[in-house]
Amino acid sequence: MSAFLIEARNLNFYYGTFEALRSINISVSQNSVTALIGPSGCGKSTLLRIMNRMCDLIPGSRVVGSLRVFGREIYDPNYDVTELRRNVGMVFQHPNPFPSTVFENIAFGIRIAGENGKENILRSVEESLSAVDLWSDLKDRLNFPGQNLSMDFQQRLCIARAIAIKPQILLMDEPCSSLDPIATQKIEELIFELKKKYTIVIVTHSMHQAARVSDFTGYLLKGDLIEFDRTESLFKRPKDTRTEEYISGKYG
Amino acid sequence: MTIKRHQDAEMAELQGITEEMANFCFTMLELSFQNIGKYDQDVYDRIFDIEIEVNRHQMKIDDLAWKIIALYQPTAGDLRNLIGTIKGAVDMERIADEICTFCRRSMTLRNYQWKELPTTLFDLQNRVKELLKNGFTAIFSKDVVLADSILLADDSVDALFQTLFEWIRDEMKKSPDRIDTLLDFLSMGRSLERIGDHATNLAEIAIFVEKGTDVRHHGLTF
Repeated sequence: MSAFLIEARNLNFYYGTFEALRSINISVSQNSVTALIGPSGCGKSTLLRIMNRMCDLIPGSRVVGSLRVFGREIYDPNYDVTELRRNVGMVFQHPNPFPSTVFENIAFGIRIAGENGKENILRSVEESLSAVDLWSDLKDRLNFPGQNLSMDFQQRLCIARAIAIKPQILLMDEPCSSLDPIATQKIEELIFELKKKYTIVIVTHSMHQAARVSDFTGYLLKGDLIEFDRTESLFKRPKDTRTEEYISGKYG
Repeated sequence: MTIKRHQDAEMAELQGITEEMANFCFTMLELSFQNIGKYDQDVYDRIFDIEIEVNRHQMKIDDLAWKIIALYQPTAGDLRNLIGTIKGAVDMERIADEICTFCRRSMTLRNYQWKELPTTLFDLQNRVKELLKNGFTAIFSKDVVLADSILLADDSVDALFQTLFEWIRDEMKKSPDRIDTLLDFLSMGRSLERIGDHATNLAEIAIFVEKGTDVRHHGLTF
């Protein structure tokens, strides 16, 4: 099996006749944070979403090329999408807790995954909330509505929900875009902790955030992956002038 | 509320490398002074080896500082700290260079019959050693009061060097046959005086990092 958890080779994606991604080649290493950056409409969120087959239901959408996750072609017609999503969690731009209690937000996925033992569920809830540093704050408020928490807590609750079913990969689509700088910093530090256990791919509008949190960065422009490199190298010595222009604020 | 940031670990690493570099410089200075009169070649070789480590540390500091700036966009105190560290590393690298120059000149004294060091040169050594020690302490302990005292003491180094210079000039007139030795004394004194200047720079950096004020050139504004 490949050393990479996610591997795209000559990957193209179409919305109808519009080519949103063109010949993408990217490899994501285990326990690393990979950031995808680029201007609006460059295809970074599309690339993230097709890693979880979240574009399957978009009419006219089409994937051409190879996208392997855990060494298997995920667009193979026989591939089990439920299994994929159990192993590849997703955190969205806006915190979206279920209209339910803190406890149920976490426990729901655990039950769906087949766990029914009350003690096991409680243990998993505690583990998941602890992993996002929420347990001490929320352990006495497990019946509190998740949607009434602060935005920072809501987003961390969503991350806890994603990791409760023990995925190996976490996809994060601009997870800090609706948070203030302090909350953003907390999530960024959390990403650092999470990468010890999970492999993370994050889409961010903030190239500074990509620089701070990631090990690898990919710069996309108009559907092309212009440059993909170790974050330190890309921010110190970008190889492509288009990357240089974007990260130094000269783009557009 | 203070949040522990990932970049703090990198800043701490940078501080560690910088302190190590300072220790190397101070060790070089002490060894070079202790070796006066003995002129032991092994000690000189050790000093020159340490200087290579000092250079290596400066490169490490520059690279890590570059990384921190590129990845974390530091501001305020972090930014001052980084600028101060890069500038301080330049001073330390030059201090190490001056110590090597001092050593190379003192090595040649072995060849002379008349090589007794003038008292003023010893006084200069002691003063510079104290200034440099205080300069490092001011930077690493963020001691602005100590840094201020270094700025005031810099004149005493200049005064000692002036005294040494006048003595050398007079000796040259009296004993032209000793001119080679005297020129080496002058070069050694010049190196010490420059090390004193670098110690003053370190004090100015300490004040800049801690207070954000530029006290170079006696408070010149622009």
